[in-house]
Amino acid sequence: MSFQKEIHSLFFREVKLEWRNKYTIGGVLLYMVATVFVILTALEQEGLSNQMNANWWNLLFWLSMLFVSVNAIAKSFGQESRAKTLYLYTLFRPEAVILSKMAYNYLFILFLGLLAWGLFSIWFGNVVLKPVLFLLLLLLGGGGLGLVFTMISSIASKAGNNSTLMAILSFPVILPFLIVLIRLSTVVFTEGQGIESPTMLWVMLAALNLLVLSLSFILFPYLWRE
Amino acid sequence: MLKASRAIWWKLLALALITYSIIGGFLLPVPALPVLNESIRNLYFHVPMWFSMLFLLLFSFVMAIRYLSNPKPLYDLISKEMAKTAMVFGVLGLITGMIWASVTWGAWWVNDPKLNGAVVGLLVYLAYFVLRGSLEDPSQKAKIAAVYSVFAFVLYIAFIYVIPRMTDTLHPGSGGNPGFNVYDLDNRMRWVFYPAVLGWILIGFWITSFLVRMRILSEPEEYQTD
Repeated sequence: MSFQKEIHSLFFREVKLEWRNKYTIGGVLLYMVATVFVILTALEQEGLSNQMNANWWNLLFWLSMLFVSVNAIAKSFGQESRAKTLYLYTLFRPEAVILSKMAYNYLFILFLGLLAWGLFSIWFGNVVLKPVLFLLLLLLGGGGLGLVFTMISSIASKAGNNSTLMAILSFPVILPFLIVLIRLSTVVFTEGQGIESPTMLWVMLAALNLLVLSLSFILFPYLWRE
Repeated sequence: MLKASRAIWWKLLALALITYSIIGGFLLPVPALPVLNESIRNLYFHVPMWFSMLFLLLFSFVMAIRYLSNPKPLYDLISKEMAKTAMVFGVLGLITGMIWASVTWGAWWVNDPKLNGAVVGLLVYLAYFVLRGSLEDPSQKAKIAAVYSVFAFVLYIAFIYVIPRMTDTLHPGSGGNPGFNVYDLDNRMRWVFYPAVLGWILIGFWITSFLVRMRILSEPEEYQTD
């Protein structure tokens, strides 16, 4: 099978599997809603929910995205039985496997991001002044989250799919993305530039995404053979 | 490589360099700068810790790559022990940095990317050891740990070297403070500094060689060297 066809069929296989078990997707979406709601309730207790300024909005947004994404992607490699994994191993190239999983997870995170944006806007007010830029931020930042967590999930799945392991492995590694994202988000919330040299940060974000993509592409085949 | 580690000359060199840097560090004159005064002598201890940690981690990274292409248990052992020693140096670097900070900046901890980068490094490699601990089969352990080590190291380098360059920090060598020039690293300091760096790196390698050889002695069949 050609490489493209492999990725294509694997990707749609992922979609079909998730669609059959709608409750897994629903579970993650509910997790997102619940998380944001907890934040809302906690802030309401403090009497602060209508005073959320852009910085806190930003921070809480990305933190929620972080935690929900980790949980969403944690199971992406552990679900198949050993027999099925062996079957897939004989059929598909490892590069196709990792790329298709990444593509699927990326889209899922994007969707989560849009959902979170909506929830935050409803409950905390919409502080996003430049929605197009924010969307771009979601595309690149969500990419980072999705790609890194997929790769880490593949590593953690070999170690018994312990969810704490997934968290420990991924948090230090996701920090570069997180820091660039949070800094870059100020551009979206302010009228002018907000921070010096935002272009450099955009480039950095894109470069980080490419870096993770290429690293995973090279490293995954070693994992797959286990 | 093991033969080289048994040689004496570089260990004596390390000892000589360290002794020289300690004696010279305290007795030789240093430029008098405001705020820093005599505490600038910490430069001879704090910065070499970082250089050593980075070198050891780099070597660990290289060994991990070598292991992936040629799975000899020796490479994995060296990679692991390098990471261990690097963590010790990292902690020492943090402690010396905190002591220095409390004297010059008035606080034990400042919100600064370089400091955060140091903690991230420790977190990454602590996670590496947790990962190793949660895998049973030795060859699987080695391979998966190697994959994580490569992935995490590249992102770690991205984190500590690129991100501080983007923001203004209190820490010299980033933001508005140019490299070491802020300390006017004139020849007087260079005479002690460069030997100190080299000496501590060699000490790091020496300690690691102990750890490696002790392990080889306790399990000789596993590490058949040629």
